[in-house]
Amino acid sequence: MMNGLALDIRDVSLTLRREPVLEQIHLQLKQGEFLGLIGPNGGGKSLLLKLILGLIEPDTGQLRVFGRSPKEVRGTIGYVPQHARFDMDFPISALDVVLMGLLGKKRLFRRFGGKAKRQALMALERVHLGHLADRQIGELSGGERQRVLIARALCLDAPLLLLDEPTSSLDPQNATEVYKLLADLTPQRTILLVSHDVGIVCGYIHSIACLNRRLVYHPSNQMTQELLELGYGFPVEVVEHPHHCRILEPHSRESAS
Amino acid sequence: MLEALSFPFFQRALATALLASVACGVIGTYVVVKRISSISGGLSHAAFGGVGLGYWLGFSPILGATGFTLAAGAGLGWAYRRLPSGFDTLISMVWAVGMALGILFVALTPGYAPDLMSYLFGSILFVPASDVWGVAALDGVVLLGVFFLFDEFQAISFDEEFAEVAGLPVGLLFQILLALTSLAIVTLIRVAGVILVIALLTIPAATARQWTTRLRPMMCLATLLSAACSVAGLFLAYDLSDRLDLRLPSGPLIILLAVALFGVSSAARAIWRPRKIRGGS
Repeated sequence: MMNGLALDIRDVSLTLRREPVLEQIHLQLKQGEFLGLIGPNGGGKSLLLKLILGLIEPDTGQLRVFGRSPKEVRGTIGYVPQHARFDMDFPISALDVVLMGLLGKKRLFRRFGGKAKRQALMALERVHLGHLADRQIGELSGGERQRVLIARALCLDAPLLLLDEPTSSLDPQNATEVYKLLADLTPQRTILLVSHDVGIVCGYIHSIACLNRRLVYHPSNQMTQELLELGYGFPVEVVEHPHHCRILEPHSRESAS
Repeated sequence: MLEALSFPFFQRALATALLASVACGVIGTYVVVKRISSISGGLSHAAFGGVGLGYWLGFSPILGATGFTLAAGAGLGWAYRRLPSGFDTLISMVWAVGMALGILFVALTPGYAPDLMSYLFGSILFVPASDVWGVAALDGVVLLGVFFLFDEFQAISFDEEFAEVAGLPVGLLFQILLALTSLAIVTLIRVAGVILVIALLTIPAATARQWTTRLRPMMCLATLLSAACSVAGLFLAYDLSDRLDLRLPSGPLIILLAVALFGVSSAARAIWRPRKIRGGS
């Protein structure tokens, strides 16, 4: 909090099975900033989020979230994982899934009270799912399920939100809704959003970073060819779409040569 | 058939079966939704080592079983998050080592161990009164644990990574869940024996899952189904010996009834709501 940085990553490197996966990452996020993080699959985007969440430790370098270590702030950061790896048949309601977001605030051996339930219901209403609160999670569509996970991250009212491709199973219209909602949450909250929808995202974010083992930061929402190429590590083509643009990766040019 | 109720041994058997059904339904629900049936199988077989130690050193085999399952549960819980690749193998080792120790301890015991089979396959008709109270006490511990940690157990069963991000002590909670599972296994050894316990922990809960969309109703239904199968199995065993002089152990009968019920339930589920068929496990 002291230096006004929500996130302060300095010289962070990570090696997995002797393979360098993140190298000398520098990233400073001001409070209230909305950063879009792009990059190829396997570029380390999800790993970077896991470092920030304290789920894994970096080999070198320093990570500070509001001036404290990731482990210290655990339970106060909103997080939407990339793939819901849970069992769709799990006997649990949408509301109970959202309540999980508040577990960090609840004391062990206590039950959730009415206040927590109202908070969870409000988070569901924010993603327009208030009417489906009692549905079993498997009875929802893929898009609705994704919005439940977003509500789970929102209900904590966290000052920092990390979202790992939250719109991958949404259609463009629903995805736009989610981006609008996120944009409304700033500047009270700081958001780090991993996305492939470079075109749609550009309209809402404040800054953009591209991660492909190394991180390239760009302090505006203008996506440039140069940034993309730096991030992806090889020439890329940008194709204009009616709704949005997509990045086409050449067929593994690196491994072919 | 109802005259069976007048015999004290049958009353004790019935009471034990009903009490064990509670632990079976509640913990069985977690075993099914968290998919820890192989861990539970390992724990129940580890119990046999404790049974053997009890015989050898002359203390209650059930006490030995409790100690061995709790210790095996603590060991597996510790390794769970540290050995992602070798964990499955470790379960098999605990499984086999428990049985091997049990057999060695029994061999070391002077004389003949007459009711060894009863610990392998259950012997609910010969339950002493003290064991009925023991099962009731274990039920109490299991219910208290689940009552106070319901949301936490639900969270680690549903989405362990998020539970950790939310700040829960995921490793410790899993240890507690395994400890409660160990206690549930001990209550069920009387009914079904170490080899068949895993069937009682999974089949009623898997059947209940087909008809419920929340954990609490699933636990209640699994308890009811387990109680129904146990009572029916007991009466069936009594009736077969009374009328046909067929002396069949009740444990295997109870389990075959539970499987039959699961089959009927799966078929009914397929007909009832063909739009969305839920798998059993």
